[in-house]
Amino acid sequence: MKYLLVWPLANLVRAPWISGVTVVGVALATLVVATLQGFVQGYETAVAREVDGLGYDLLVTARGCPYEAATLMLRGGVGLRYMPNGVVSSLEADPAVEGAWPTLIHPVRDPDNPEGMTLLKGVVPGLLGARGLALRAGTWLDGETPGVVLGFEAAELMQRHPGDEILLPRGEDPLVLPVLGILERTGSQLDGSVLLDLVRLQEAFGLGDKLTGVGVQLSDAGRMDAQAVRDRYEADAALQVIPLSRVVETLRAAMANLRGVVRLLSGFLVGLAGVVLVNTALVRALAEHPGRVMLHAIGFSQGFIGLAALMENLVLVGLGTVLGVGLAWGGAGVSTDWIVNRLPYAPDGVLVVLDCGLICRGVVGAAALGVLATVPALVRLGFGGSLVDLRGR
Amino acid sequence: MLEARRIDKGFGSRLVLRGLDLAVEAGGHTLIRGPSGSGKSTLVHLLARLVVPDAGDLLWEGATVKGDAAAWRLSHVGLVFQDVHLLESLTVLQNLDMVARGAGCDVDPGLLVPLGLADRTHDPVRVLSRGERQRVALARAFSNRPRLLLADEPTASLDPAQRDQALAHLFDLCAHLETTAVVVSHDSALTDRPEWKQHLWLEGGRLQPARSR
Repeated sequence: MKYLLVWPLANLVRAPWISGVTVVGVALATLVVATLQGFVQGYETAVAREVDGLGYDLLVTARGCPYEAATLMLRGGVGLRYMPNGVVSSLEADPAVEGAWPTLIHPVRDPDNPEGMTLLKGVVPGLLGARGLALRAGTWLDGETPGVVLGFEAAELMQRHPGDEILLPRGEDPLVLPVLGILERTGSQLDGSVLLDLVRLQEAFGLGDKLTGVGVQLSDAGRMDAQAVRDRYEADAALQVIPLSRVVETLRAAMANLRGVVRLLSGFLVGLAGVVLVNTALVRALAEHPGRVMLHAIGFSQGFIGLAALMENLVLVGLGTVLGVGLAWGGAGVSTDWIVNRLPYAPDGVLVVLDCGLICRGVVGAAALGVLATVPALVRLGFGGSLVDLRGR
Repeated sequence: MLEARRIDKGFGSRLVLRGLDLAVEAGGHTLIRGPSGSGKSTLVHLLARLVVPDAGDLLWEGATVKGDAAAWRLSHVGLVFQDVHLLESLTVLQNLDMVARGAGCDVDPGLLVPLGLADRTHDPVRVLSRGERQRVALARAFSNRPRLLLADEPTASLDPAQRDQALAHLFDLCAHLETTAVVVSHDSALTDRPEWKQHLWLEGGRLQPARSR
């Protein structure tokens, strides 16, 4: 019936402040809950994607702070310590090792932004096949041709194409190299990197045969006893070995803790929104009660009147939920920036992800809140001297 | 049309109606008067089946009304309350339309014309004066085209001129829609209307023919 919608809407419009406060309260709670839940979801996905993109079983680095080493593994961090010579040849001779890919990370001043830094990453030509990388345009490093390969985002940022030149600051004598190719997006730290041939980078910047890390892929036999391989290299006082599995486990544990905190916080916020909603619903139930009793006296069923009260609350929580989810959705980029600036480590990409499942859960939660907020009106209508309310106002 | 037989109704230890009898024929407009607290509103609520009698029978068209009392009211009865009780968030016409639709008929905006509310159709009822609201309540009571009108102090908030006008409209609408009115009031000024077929006095829980009081 038309008035199942017209009457509730008119009631809401009649009390704009109460309705507005309720909608804003529900929207804020939804915004925070959706952003937190979306963040947990997005962060997990992004970390998993980044870890998958590494393609290594172990990372061998110079001994130092383990967090620094973990950052180096995931983000190509700049806390540089150099590896001793000869470790690559030892690894390559090890039957437990299928492949070893030495890396040298060297920070230079950003050619397009004097206040920023660009990380140059010296790699070996075999990395392309070992990591299963694909080129979007141009060619890969061959060890002979001078030039750089840009990650997808680095190319976008620098607006360079294959054949363009790139200037790398180097004291009084900047290095000018052509862009050989551009990588497809990987979803890993490679997207923002400038890749050079390892030897050329070492020579160009006078770094001798220094390395910052060696990515190690174990053979099947090596994987069977990864701990033994790890112990063997850890025995060298100058090295530390970071297993990928430990990074994953640490991140999983951190995510489990984060999920728990977010659930607790979400429950608290939903409870708070429920209290606000029930409180304003109580105020509205008191104001609208005589009208509801009168309608029942005229002959409208309690079912109709209860349904209209439910509709009123569903409209309120529906509007609040749509507004909150919309803000969370639209502000996902801003939320990501805000969160990333407060985390010691954050993977690339948008970290606040609102998918259909999350939105559906939000809608179900909002409907439950709407039903909860209708209880005061139903209780008032169902019990308690309704005819008394028709007399002597 | 409507008959109450030996009705008892009490609240707690106080018996308000004792063995009350009433018969209302179609077209037999009935005025029931009585002192304050004599049970006039209780009688209206009983006749509308808003409350259940402790003893006695209520008959409609010679039979006990079975089933949903609310649905019966919406189909057959128009109600005017002592306190107007309009839906404040709706307009004048919407207040009528909602009841009409509930009863399954189309709203007749013409009901508002004789009540002097034709130009207030789309105004929210909350901006109306008390007298105007009373007239809207009267129009609403007719919007489901009822056979029986039960009115509890329908002129309580009107000045004498408005009261006479409202009563005139009430009887006009009753004539137009073939509705029978049962009105309870403490107001002796209502007795002058010639349309009343019955004029009863409620006191001590029973009805009796009224003398001039």
